[in-house]
Amino acid sequence: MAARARQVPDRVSRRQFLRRAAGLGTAVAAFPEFVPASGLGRAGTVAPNSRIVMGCIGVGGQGTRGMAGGIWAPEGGFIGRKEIQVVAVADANQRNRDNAQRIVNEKYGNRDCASYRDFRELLARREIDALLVATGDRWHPLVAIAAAQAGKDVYCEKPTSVTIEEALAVRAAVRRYGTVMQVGTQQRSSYSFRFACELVRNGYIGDVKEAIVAVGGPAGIRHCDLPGEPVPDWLDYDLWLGPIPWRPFNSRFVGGWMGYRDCSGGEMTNWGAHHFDIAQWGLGMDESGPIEIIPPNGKDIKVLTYRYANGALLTRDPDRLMREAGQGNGVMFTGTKGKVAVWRYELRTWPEHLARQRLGPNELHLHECDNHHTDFINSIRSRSRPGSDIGIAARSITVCHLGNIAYELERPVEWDPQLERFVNDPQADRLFSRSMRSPWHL
Amino acid sequence: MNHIEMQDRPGPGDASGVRASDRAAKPMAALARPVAVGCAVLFALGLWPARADALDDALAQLKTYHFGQDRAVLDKLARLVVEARATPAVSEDLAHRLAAVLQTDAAFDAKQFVCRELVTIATEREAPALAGLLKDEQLSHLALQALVRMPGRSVDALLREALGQTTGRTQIGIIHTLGDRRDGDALASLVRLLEGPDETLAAAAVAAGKIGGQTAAEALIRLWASASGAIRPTVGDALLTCADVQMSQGDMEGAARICELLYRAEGFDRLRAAGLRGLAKARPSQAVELAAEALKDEGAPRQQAAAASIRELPGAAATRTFARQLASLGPIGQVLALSALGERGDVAALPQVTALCLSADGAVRLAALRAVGVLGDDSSVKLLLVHASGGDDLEREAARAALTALRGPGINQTLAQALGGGEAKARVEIINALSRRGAAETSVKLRGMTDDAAAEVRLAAFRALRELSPFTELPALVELLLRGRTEDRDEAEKMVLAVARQGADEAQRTAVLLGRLAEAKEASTRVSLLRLLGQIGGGRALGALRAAARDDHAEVRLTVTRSLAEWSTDEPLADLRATVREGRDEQQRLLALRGYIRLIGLNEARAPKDASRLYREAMGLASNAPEKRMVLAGLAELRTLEALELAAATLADPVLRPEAEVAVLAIARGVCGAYPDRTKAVLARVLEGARAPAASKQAQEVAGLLQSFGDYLAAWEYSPAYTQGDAGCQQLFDIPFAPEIPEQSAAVVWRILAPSTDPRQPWLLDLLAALGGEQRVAYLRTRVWSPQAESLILELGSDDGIKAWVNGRLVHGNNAVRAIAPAQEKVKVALQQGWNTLLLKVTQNVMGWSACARFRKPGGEAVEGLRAQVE
Repeated sequence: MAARARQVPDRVSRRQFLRRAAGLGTAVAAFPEFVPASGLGRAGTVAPNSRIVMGCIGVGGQGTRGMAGGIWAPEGGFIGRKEIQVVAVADANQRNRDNAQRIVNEKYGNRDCASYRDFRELLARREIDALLVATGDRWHPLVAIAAAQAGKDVYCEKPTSVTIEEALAVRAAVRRYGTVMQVGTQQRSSYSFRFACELVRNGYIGDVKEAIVAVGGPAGIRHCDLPGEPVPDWLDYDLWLGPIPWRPFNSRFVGGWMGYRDCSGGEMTNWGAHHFDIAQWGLGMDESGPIEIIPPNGKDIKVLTYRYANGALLTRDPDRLMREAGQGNGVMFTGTKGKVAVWRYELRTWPEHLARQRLGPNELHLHECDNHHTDFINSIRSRSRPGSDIGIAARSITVCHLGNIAYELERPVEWDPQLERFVNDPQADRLFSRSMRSPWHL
Repeated sequence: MNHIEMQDRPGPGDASGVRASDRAAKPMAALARPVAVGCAVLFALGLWPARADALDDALAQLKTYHFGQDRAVLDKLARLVVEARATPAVSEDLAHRLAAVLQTDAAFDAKQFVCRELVTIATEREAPALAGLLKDEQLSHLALQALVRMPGRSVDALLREALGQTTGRTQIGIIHTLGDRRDGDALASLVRLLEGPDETLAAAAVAAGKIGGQTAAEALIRLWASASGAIRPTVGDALLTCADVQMSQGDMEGAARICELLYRAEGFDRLRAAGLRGLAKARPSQAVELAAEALKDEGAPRQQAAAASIRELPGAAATRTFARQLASLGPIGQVLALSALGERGDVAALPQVTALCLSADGAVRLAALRAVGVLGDDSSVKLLLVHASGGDDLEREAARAALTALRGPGINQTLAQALGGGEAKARVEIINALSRRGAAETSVKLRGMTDDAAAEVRLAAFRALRELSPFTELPALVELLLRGRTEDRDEAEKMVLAVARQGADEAQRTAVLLGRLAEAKEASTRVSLLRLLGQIGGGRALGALRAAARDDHAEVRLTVTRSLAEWSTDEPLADLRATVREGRDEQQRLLALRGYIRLIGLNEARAPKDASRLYREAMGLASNAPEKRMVLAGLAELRTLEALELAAATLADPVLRPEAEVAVLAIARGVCGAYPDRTKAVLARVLEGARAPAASKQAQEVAGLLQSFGDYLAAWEYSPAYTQGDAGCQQLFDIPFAPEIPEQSAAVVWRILAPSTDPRQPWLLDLLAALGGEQRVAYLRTRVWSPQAESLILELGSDDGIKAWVNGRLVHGNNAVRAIAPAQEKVKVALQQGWNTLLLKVTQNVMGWSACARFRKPGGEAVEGLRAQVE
């Protein structure tokens, strides 16, 4: 849907901008009190206290946790931050949006939170500066692109997309309109993951030979074959489906969409979005990617293997990580002088003393932030790119998709990380993108 | 547009910018082969089903397939598609046969499957069959999925033909597909559709933008001029796409014209900003000038776009231009430009950036300080120290971060030299900066600062040494501690502790301290060293503490007791009990009792019955109500019937009643599934005399929980978790551990499993909550009393794999990795009259780890008369 034309210049007042840039928004003002103004160059109104006005699109489990706190979300969520004012929620599922609306209203002690079935109505609200997008994966690209066109900054849960083309399209839209987009690969805002990558990038394990990622593979994901059931009255099923092929409603399909190929790349993009992202970070490939992807062949290649132009390898090998690091879900880097393994809550090094290494100011320091939401907010203020900027995330999720494509074709594929295209492979090209169900499109 | 123009655009199946239909000419030549050759080739290659009619049978089955039916036929055909891809002739033949299904009256479900499979193998030969679905509202999309990246001009022609035969959503889908295929021959039709209703117009504009070229550009520019309302941003976006196409084809001036049009568009600031960025790319020679102009537009989106240009435009001249402009910008522009110059990283901007550290505007000062952290050098140290020790919190924080980030070989030395004078708060900032910078080479200088006249400087120095000192400096640091001032001792001890812990083993960690302890004359020295040894732990330290337990000085003895009470294992349990019984000093006795209770709960491997016995003993040692409260607090963590009884016994004491209620309810919540009758009796006592409404409410909740289990078995004990080497959960499934090995099972320590805390899943046996971890296995056991011998169905659910034994006989196994749901498996079992044993083995991959079980009649009805009980 086209964004509404703006008749008012999208300007920000000096006072509003400077308060935000200085991080002063938390210090003042009664709440809520909104007056029309324009904020940071985006259409809409902004609170005089310079709070960032936010809408939440997709407020199921993860969306609610991102909004209000819970597992795998910074404590208290966006709603728990004084710099943020959540004013609207949207979800095709009425139960989800009613629940989220109640949470917001209870938090603020009022009844001001608007609730929308269709996210496009929320996007049309001019005063909304930023979005939390936690829809199903299939919706991430469409909502992110529409948000960029509407000039809104986005915190979008991972994975960015279901295809490579979608991820690149999101990146193009965000760059075109100069918005901020932070993807929810929050391991980038974790000390242990950052430090592990800093050890690798600063040569503490010598020349990097291999990164080993432990995530689930493509097994267990397929096209949905569940029988049809009556569509419940609390769900706008057509909108819920969005860009994916129509099929009859089934409650298990809606409740377990992550197990179905139209909606998801399975564990390769679910946990893969996190751990392949860290592998890319540690290998220094945030602006590049592998040149060859080789699926296991039952002979000499036992595990999914990526080859980079500098000779480094990246493998998906949970058994090896378990064997060597005692952990079945994480990342390990091996080099000529040592190893670093990292997962949620723990980092291990060989030799052990590397874990206590302190980096000097003259060494490479990676993007530092210890709270993924804070990092997003800082970027909204400074207009700099956040730690999980869409440019980085698009590259990382491409690695995940490339793995899935190699698995699906059951043969190696070559990739040009500069052009971001397969090398002379019309069959793989057919899996580079997919048509969206009309009227949705990239 | 002709096809030559399109070669610069990636098209369907196009990785290199060459149109797929051209590049795919070679594979397409295979179409000329007689189809009949196909099957013969397949047989020869051994790639086809052993019997050709097996494929025909599968396709016949497919035609009547409906969602929900056995998907074996789908899996079979999907596997054939995978195998066929390797051999073009096989792939072509299979594609043709599959496509034929689309032209039958096969069910929607079957046709959907066929379309998906054709995505990777269909050729132009199958395109007509797919195109036949384009008018079908539900199947059109799936047909387009197969067509969108299929090479071949005939595909374009079929799509263009369908364009005129469709309307609404189906037509819009085709429009987007033509755009995605970059079909220049479709432009004429698309341009006509630009006069259609808004939704169609928008789709046609987007598609035309993707196709690009002069014709598309002119049509979109005309539309931009005439369009109004909500459609204009869409047209603007399509124009920007078109400009990108022009640039990719080398038509920079054509792209620049489009971008300039949008850059000048009043009232569309976001498009103006995008236009500016496009213009800078299309006319790079003007980019700096354009960005510099836009930077002046205070608060506008194009000012942000200009700031992005500062990050991206190359060259020292650009840095100089933007840096010179800084002073004349408004505050918003200054903040944006400072942030961008910092990210640009060109130190040539340092003088102008540094100047803004003195701006009257706080936000500008902050942005300047952050940029100095990136661009600064030795000369920035003094300025940053001034801001770090003055100004508001945010400014100090920014200056400190900048001091930490400054790069250059001489920064640490410059900072260390500045320690010689100045105000105390400046010295603190320097020390903190050296610590954050990891400046270990300055540790000698820092040791000197522990004797500074200002307390805050000394403390900062101790903290810095804690962070920076290597293990080899431990003797010198212990010396600092022992010679230092009494008021600094806490901080000095933390320093020594942190560095001592760097030792490779217990001997290394304690050697220096034990050496100094042996020669310590002063009681205060012994106190300090013993306190440190207590925190380091290990056998040597424990020996030293025990030896000091008879020290002449009460303060030393108290330190020993405190250290033992806080010991990291339950090893000093007997020492503490002896101290309590001895009762020489009341403070010491109380510390010992508190430690004794703590250590009972510390040993997770202790059998629950032993823990119960120790708590009973502790209750006997407690001489007054406060001490008994301490025991109740520890007891509340235990999950045994004995603990419930012991806590319940104190309900009668009016002084202890509130704590007793809390303990009883906590224990009851944990054991109610295992001992429902006894729990009910205790709950009744709580309800009878509850003082606090909260206690009554909780008692009622536990009573309610007892009703929520239904016929799911709720009385369970769980074993410890087992692992073996590197074995993953699916390997552990087949490895027998003590609970399933008769000669070892008696030694297993079993614990009561508390009921689920999830009210939606009262049946959940939550091993993750009880044991946690990944890649492991544990066992659950219970006993079930049956009024008669009977054949029943054991309904099981598990996360992840599960094995089940009834009366010692293995009755089921599923080495799964999955999420739990009730009745994932239904196992026929025979129960004997009287007591039956049920043992479950549940594997854990990652995340959830649980099981559930109940018995049902073969017809699914509930079973009367069964009851479960732990052993």
